[in-house]
Amino acid sequence: MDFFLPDLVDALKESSSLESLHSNCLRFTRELDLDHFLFGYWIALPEGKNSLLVMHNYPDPWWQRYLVNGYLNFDPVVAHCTRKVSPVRWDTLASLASSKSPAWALLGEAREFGLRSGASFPVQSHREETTLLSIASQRDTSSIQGIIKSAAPHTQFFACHLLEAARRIALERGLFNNPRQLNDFEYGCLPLLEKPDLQLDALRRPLAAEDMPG
Amino acid sequence: MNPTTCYELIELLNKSESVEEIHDVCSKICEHAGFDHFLYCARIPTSFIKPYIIVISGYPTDWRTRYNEQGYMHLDPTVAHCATRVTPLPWQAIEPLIKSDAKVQRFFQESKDFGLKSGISLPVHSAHGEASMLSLSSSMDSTTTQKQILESSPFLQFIATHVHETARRLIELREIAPPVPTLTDRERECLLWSADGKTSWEIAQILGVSERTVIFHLQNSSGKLGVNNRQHAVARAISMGLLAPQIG
Repeated sequence: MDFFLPDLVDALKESSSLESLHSNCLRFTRELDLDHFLFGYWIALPEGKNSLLVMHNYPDPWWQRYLVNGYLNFDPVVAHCTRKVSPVRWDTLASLASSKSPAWALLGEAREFGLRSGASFPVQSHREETTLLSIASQRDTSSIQGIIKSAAPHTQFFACHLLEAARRIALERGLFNNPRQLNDFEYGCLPLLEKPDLQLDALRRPLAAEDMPG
Repeated sequence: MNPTTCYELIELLNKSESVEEIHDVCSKICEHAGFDHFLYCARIPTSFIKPYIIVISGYPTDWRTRYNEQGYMHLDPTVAHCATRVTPLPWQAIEPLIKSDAKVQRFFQESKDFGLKSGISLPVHSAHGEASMLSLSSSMDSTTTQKQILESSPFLQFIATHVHETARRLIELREIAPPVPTLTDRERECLLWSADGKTSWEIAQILGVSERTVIFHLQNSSGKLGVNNRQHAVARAISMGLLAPQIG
């Protein structure tokens, strides 16, 4: 990892578009021999209509299903990343959730769509920004556990630089303030543009009883 | 540093049950990563004027005393970086700044005299407005330590998040600092409208409840936040990250 990470971090610092961030995330994922990534960037704005930016290469049917069903509201990965600063492996979340909880069902459904295993890395800032970088595989946890473990420090580091690059580009491009100026790619990264009904505070609520173990 | 050592240190942090144990693990982090000194500092926003500060120091005591006496915190570029950024700061990256500012230059020269010649500072921010910083420093010049610092920075940033999680766990378990209260949805909603300048009557109209109910929720939230009036409750809730501007 030491041979590609410095290059990728430099590339993030020089990136001036979301497309470039996307391709750097994709390269990072491929270098780790994993299949999928998702980068979510949430910022609380006083007057904005939308504050969630998402870049990913998740299977499209899964992402559409995720949005339509409002899974963001009870995704245990999101819940973890809005409250914690250390990463989480998805299989540990599945083992914590009750088998009757929506969180458990969601993780099971994700597996059916090819997101069989993965880990998520939160980074929060002083500006009410919360980000998560998820890396995922079509393979089972047992076969990628070693990759995730050895890549975790580098992924956390990459995620920190990703937040700063995303913030810079969001400000430069006025992503949250001028939706009419967005290009197609940028527009696609703002999934809640016309449905701004999900709020970060709601995700920070304590887990519901049905999400708890036992 | 390698992944095995990194995870061994994290395991030790996960088992830590006191500030002294965190101190010991931080000393081990220094040892394994080739540093001589460390300092972990966290700001818990219990108040706008006087936030709760936690310091676990492995810095020379004389330097800490001088640092505090001189109010160097307001001058220290590593503190400024960690307050606003999320990426690690290898100290050699601020050499241009040091050279351009006489006060900062004097500050760094003094720190070098106390054996802090090169190092890295690692910021961690968390929900509820907390900010923390782990600094690791060496008594060797940056020309000697530069490569080692750059190579170990992903591991150190990763460990810094776990140091903060451990400190947070102790805060919650041992009540080192006042815990962040949990507000109900209604209490939060009433505070939010209050922050927008609405009176109890107006909030009651908006929420479709009685004015007495609104006053009840505002009084409850004031009690939980340990304040005496609604203005103070709004300010305290914002400083603790319990209240934020709404979207849409």
